[in-house]
Amino acid sequence: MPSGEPSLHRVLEHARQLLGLSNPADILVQTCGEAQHLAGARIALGSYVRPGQAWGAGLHVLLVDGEPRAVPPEAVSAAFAVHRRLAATRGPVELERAGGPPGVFAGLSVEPGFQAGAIRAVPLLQRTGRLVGSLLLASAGPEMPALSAPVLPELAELASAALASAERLAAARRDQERLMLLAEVTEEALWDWNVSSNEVWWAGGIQELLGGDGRDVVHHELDGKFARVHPADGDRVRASLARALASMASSWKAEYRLRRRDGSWAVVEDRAHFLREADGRAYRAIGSLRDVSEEKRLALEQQFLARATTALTESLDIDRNLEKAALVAASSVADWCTILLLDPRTDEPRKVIVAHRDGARAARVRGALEAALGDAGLGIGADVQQLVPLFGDEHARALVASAPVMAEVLGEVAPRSLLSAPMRTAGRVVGAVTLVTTEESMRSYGEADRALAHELAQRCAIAFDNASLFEEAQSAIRARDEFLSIASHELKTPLTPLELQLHTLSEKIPEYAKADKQDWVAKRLGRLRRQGQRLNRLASELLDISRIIGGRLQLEPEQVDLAELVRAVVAEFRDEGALARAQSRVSVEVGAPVLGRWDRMRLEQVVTNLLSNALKYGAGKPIAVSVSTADGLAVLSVEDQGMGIDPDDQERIFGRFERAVSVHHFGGFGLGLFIVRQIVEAMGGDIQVASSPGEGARFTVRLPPRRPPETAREPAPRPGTEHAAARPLGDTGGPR
Amino acid sequence: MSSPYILVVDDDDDIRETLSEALELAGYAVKTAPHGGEALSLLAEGEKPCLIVLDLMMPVMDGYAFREEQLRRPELASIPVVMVTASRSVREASTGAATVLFKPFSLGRLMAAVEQHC
Repeated sequence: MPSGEPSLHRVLEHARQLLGLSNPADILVQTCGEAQHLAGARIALGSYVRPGQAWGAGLHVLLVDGEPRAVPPEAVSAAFAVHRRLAATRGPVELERAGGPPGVFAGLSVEPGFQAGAIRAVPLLQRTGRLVGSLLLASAGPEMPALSAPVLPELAELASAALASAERLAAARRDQERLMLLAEVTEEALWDWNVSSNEVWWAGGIQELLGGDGRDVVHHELDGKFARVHPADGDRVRASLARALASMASSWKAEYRLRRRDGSWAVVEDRAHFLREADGRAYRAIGSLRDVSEEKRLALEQQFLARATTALTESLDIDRNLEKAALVAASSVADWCTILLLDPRTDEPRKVIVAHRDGARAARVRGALEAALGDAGLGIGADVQQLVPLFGDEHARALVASAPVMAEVLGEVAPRSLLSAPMRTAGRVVGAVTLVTTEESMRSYGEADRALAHELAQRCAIAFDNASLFEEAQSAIRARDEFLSIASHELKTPLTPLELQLHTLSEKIPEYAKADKQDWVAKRLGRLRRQGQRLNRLASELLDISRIIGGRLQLEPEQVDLAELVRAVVAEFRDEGALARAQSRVSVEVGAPVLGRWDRMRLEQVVTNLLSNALKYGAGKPIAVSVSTADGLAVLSVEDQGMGIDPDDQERIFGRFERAVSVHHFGGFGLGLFIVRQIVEAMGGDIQVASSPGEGARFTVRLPPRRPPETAREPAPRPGTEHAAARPLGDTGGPR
Repeated sequence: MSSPYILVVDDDDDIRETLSEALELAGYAVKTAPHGGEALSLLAEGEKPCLIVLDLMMPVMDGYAFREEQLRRPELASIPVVMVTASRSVREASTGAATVLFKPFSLGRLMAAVEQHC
């Protein structure tokens, strides 16, 4: 039964109810219920269809006598038919049973025994004019009170407004949901800053980043965000943000440290995008914060290890290297770094290295520890890998208990966090590396840092090992060279009386040997002399080699005429019978004197060696020796026409122990040309060979008239020559 | 001038003898001493040699010490000295103007020095 004009109170109450609803179904139910009540209609059907949605898939609400019912499909179709008319008229539609579309009325007869009589319907229209649904009332009898006329459209209007609002709210909710899901998926912390109100809204991984729990969105003032920034970074970041805001920049980026809830520091990369008004004033900033701590940590670790390794391999002084490496550690991954070295023979601590940015403090701690080196407690745990993330009283007590000196040390160091690893090599522990952080860097070590300490300790151990091995090798080499030196001296000593005596014997042959035996005796004496000379040469080569290697090849230059020297050497070979034996004629081509300041003995050695080789490999064919000058250099050339040297061997023959022919064939240590080259180069000159197999060889030596004044030249690296212990050859430039 | 002789100072018996022999074969008179101390005693006896062949490494008084002493005594200072040694590095300061030969030296070179002074 109609209830007459609705009271203002009722209307307001309906409106109040609507305002509280955000669900379209509830809105329809509330509206239908009110309409039904006001119109006295038995049936009320509300329909709401979203854009693009088919009518059947839309929202349909049916109230029968005020009670919600399931909507049968016929009713939906009936409502659709009515809706079409509403779409055409865009205004209220009244239908009577008599003469009305029977299908519609039939469809709306939803109750058994119910016969729809009159239908009053209004469209649900959005402010934009879009038709989003309809409101339909049906009565059993033919009359609908005139109420339906003025009130139904208003109810429809209210409903439309409420539905639009609900739509907006749903969209906003969806956006928020999307944002939350996005925030959940990304590891970044999202923030939204309202510049004028200075409020910052956080979402996403900010909780994880800071190390909390719960997924609640946190609202902070901007200052709240900066409260957690590392004191050393705060000003810089604030200034940078202010600059970006004030300028026309559309984006901003910064890297800084944020304090986590547990007190540790996270390195974050903060990026923001500004929204600006037309006049350029920024009113909003949206940003994301990414925890790059791990990336940073790894990058810094790599950098640190690279620098530490450089320090460890810098010089031959292992102690110095370890100190340098410790300092590198104390300037990057730690505040203090100590390296304890054990004596390998006794496993007792023998030395401690302490590094800190402040050298004076480091020295004090080192002094204290050194004084207590005998303290067995210091060595304890050297083979244990330790991690103390947060140093507390119990740790302090344990340390002091094991070594009393630690009380003083702890007082100076005040550790926050500690990490140590043993230096292990070849199965033994040779020391330990300890990294300590304090309030200076505010860093705390965690499990992830164990690898760092282990890596550092291992590199120190390897460097330490290498140094030991190197020293051993050096020792062995020194011993060898000393022995070579002594050996060759000893070998040479008996050669003097040997040669002299042989000389005397051969002088005395005419006197003491029978005439017909003199040749026989002379020949045999000759053999003895040659062997003696050979011994002499071998001993000299040995001595030279040890000197050259040890960098003790000292040149004593004096005024020398190369031309005269060559003539003298050739003469000696001739006198001694070498030329006759080799059946080689030696032609000496020398012109004017070729003067220079050279070590006479060494120069003779070069000439002798080259001539000796020419005779050896010359196959009896003539040998040409010449001395000249060219481009201000003295040039000596020795050319034979013997077997020649294969191009592949031409470089090799200058190597130590190298020979281009078989050992058994021509004898000697194979050191001759090596020594020649060393001497020539030490004099600032060079030696070249030109040869082809079967066509002899020409060796050409070029020397500057005096050794160039630059500091000793290193011989250029060549395969086969020893360089591990090579040091520059010296020129004493001795006065004469 | 007193009759020239060559003084050979060396601790090695064989070197003294073979060197003496070789020099005598060449026509020179030779006296020998096993170390610097004996050489000084010998020189004190009067006749001065025309040349001293001096080994450096000797017991009791080595070549350097002998040379120092020789240079301190005006009557001995002017006697020319040929120093012989197997060791390559010779202390320049203590040898002064003497010739240096390295063992084993060729007789020819020694003879060159001998002929120059005797």
